[in-house]
Amino acid sequence: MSIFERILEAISGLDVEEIEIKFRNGKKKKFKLDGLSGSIALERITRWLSNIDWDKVKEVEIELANGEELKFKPNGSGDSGIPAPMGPSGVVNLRFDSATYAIVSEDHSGVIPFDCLALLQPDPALPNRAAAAIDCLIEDGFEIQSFSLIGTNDLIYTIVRS
Amino acid sequence: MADKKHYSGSTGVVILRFDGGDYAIVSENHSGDIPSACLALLVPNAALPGRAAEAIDCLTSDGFRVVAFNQVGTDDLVYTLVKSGR
Repeated sequence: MSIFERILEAISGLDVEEIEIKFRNGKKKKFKLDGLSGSIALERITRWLSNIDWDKVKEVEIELANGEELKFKPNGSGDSGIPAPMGPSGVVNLRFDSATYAIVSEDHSGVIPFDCLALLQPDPALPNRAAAAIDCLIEDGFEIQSFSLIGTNDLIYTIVRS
Repeated sequence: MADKKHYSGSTGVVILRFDGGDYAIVSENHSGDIPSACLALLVPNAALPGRAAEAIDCLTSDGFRVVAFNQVGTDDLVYTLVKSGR
């Protein structure tokens, strides 16, 4: 398991206050949660950690809201951090009109990026939204797992990050 | 979406609806990084038969894959092509 995966597993269900990453060149990076918790916090952390150059990391310190501290170190040169696909799991059922590409309805669970959630708003007055929503999810590591025609014109895609 | 750096390459999605009889493009919806040469082919026009394969060929040459397909109505097909950037 990479350091990235170990961190996500360790903080699952915990309230994180701050993350500090120490790099081998002596530099540090800090990320403060500012009171965020639950899936919102986990999504922010995942996003922030995914931008770290793990090959240069010396140590990660995580301060929890209860005052506890967790420390992580890379396992070695092969521990580059981000697995592919990365991130916590999520599922989106997306129904859209195949004539207008407007989103008809959606159902989601798990960690869905905020910018994708913003696109997943059902509204017949907003055509051409389907591709943008799917692209947003694909960009975040999701894949189309199943697809089906429903009714005359609607399509339902199930898009999953496992 | 510019802050996402999970994958090294760019991503793109094209949903292409075309007539299964004459292969003219009925409609399309796209997002992300689509080559301009392919975009030029992705123009819905019932008077231009045989455009669907050309558009799909252009996209697959650029790394897109057909990941979903459905028949809609009597004659139309909807293909979803995705470039995941991985």
